[in-house]
Amino acid sequence: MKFFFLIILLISAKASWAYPNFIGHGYTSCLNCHYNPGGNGPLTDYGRAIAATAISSGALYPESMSEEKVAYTSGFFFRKPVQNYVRTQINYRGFQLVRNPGSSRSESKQWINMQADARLIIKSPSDRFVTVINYGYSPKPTGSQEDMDEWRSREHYMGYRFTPKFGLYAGLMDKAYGLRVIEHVMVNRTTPQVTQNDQVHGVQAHYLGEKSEMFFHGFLGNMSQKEDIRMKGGSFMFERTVADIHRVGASVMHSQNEYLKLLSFAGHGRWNLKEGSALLAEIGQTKRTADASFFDKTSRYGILQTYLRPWRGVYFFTNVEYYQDNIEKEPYFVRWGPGLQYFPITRLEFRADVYNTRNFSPDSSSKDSWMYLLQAHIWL
Amino acid sequence: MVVVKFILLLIVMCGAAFGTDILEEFKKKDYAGVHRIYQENPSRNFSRKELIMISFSLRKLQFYRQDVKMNVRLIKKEYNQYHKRLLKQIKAGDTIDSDQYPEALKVLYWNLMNAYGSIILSYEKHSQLIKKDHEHYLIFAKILSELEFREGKVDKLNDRIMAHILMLQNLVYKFSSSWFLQYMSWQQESQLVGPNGFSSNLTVTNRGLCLGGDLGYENGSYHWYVDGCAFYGSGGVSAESGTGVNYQQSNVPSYGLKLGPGASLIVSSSKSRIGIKIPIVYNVQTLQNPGQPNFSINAESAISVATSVYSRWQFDKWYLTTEFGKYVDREATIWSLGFGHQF
Repeated sequence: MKFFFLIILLISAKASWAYPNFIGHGYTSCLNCHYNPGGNGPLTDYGRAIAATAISSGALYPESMSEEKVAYTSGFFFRKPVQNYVRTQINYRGFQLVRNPGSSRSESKQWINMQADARLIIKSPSDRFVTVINYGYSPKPTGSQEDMDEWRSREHYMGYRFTPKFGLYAGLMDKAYGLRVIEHVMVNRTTPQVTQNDQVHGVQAHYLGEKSEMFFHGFLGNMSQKEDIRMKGGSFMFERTVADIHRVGASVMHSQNEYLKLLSFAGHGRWNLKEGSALLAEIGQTKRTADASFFDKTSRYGILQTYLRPWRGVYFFTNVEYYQDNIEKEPYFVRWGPGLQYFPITRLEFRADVYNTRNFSPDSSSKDSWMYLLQAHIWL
Repeated sequence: MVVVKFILLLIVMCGAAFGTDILEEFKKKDYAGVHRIYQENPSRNFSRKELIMISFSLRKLQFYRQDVKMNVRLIKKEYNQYHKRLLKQIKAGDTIDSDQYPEALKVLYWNLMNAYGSIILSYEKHSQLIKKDHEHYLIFAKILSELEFREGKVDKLNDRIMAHILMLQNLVYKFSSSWFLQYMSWQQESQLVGPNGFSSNLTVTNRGLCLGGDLGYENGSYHWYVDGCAFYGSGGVSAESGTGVNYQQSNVPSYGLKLGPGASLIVSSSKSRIGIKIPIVYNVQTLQNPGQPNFSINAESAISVATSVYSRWQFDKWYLTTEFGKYVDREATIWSLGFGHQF
């Protein structure tokens, strides 16, 4: 039965963060809109214009305002850039998280400021050379043992594209691995440790061909962490365009510190269902080898993310996650998350997510757990 | 249009001696009057200029089909040789030198294309007649593009006509049916009851496969349907911790039917859609009574109603579906993930 479930995920299969579902608008590569070729972080001028004209609703603009004018107002603080060397951006994301809604005993509500970044981009006019510095507030991960600052940089790097097809990037970046979906708590991000706080210092090579895209990433861990817990290693990700508009890919990553070794691999797909509708899927596995051998285990995961765009600016989506903590044991869970995303105007995103988690175990059966979150995202 | 007006202006300015009743009505901009005179005796031997005025008036009155006849009459009367030669050249695939053809003839073709375009745009429902009118429209669009006459405007109208025809086609409801196979998970609730009023909820978490199909009607925007499937699966159950009762069962078989109406909004040209369903679930599952004396199982109704959100992603005839629903009368949910094929 689980095999059947995984097969469906596979046949149906880049932030803190990026929106890989925009393949539904025909954008196969993240480099179209982001300075970071793997997605995430600051948008290019083109990306901002696309956010204003293709992604966000046009309903709030006066009819007399042309798309060209809308695109021009997508710059920092509504202005068209007057030079081509420096860009500044501000980004905020926060949400109300409600766990066990409706339960008189266990309902909890919490407002979380997930991200408040100021970004500076120094670049050549053609974006061939780029330096990105991203600094701001982000909460400490829950249960973190580390003495981690809440005000910190989650991204800073320099990049140079030797040719349009090939570029080298060095600095603190996300690891190149799998689908960089915006929901950093999804199992395809938590299991191989590629969440919003898992950036590493390293060097990333990026190849963008006509039909294929590749990333090689060698890293030394996050240098702001203590040396013994820095995850050092490397990753490789490959994507190929199929049937002109879809993408399939694979990733492998090895990382280790003094206590833990991780070996992860995954296959993924992104399908363009036209006019903004898209399907994303990833299945993968992570083998953990720890100092204390009783922690050794191999975890398996799968995700299916579906987007439908009935009207410009509005996306209905469903996140389906499968996670088996230890493939040698039977229990697993499936988390089902329908939601709604609305971009009423460029620079503003509202989002509502519902999460229903169901546990499957041969020895026990329990009621599902529920949570929902209401999110606001503002970028200037 | 400009050329026609220009020709008419020239006629008026030159004071040409065709002082007919048509001219008088036309000067007064009484296009209905021009039409009336024409209708009184359509076979009258009108001059070329009168025919042009009648054609102009018919367009003003939006009598496009009559305008088509008028323009054809003008072509046959004034430019028949040119017309025949042009058609022959197009048919043979020859290169056409547009300078060899009079501007006035090109304007007549332009009028014909626009008349057919206006006829097509006036349709509010799809019908077989559109096909015929579209064929005629395409002939004149082709002639004008071969003559390289007002190409930009021709292309723009072509796009508008195509979009209108597509819109009309999308309004037509057609019967649709498909089969599907879903991986499904659903929960059933029962009660464990014992002596001295003891009662504890039991939740059975099931998983299984559901094979079925749907029948309905859909157009380019909406899909109305009834779908149903027969499912078979199994689930486990255990007493809640803290009840002091040791009750646990694994792989308890479950089978039944899921049937209900649904409606979807089709959101992309790939026919991907989102909608709602009201499935009625009939579930048969028997839990064994606990081994402890005086304890028994109270099963809930085998029939439940749910409301669910349904989405479907279409890859030509094949599709992938997700469905997530909640029972109306209890907390439990039902969800499925599957694929199907349209007939």
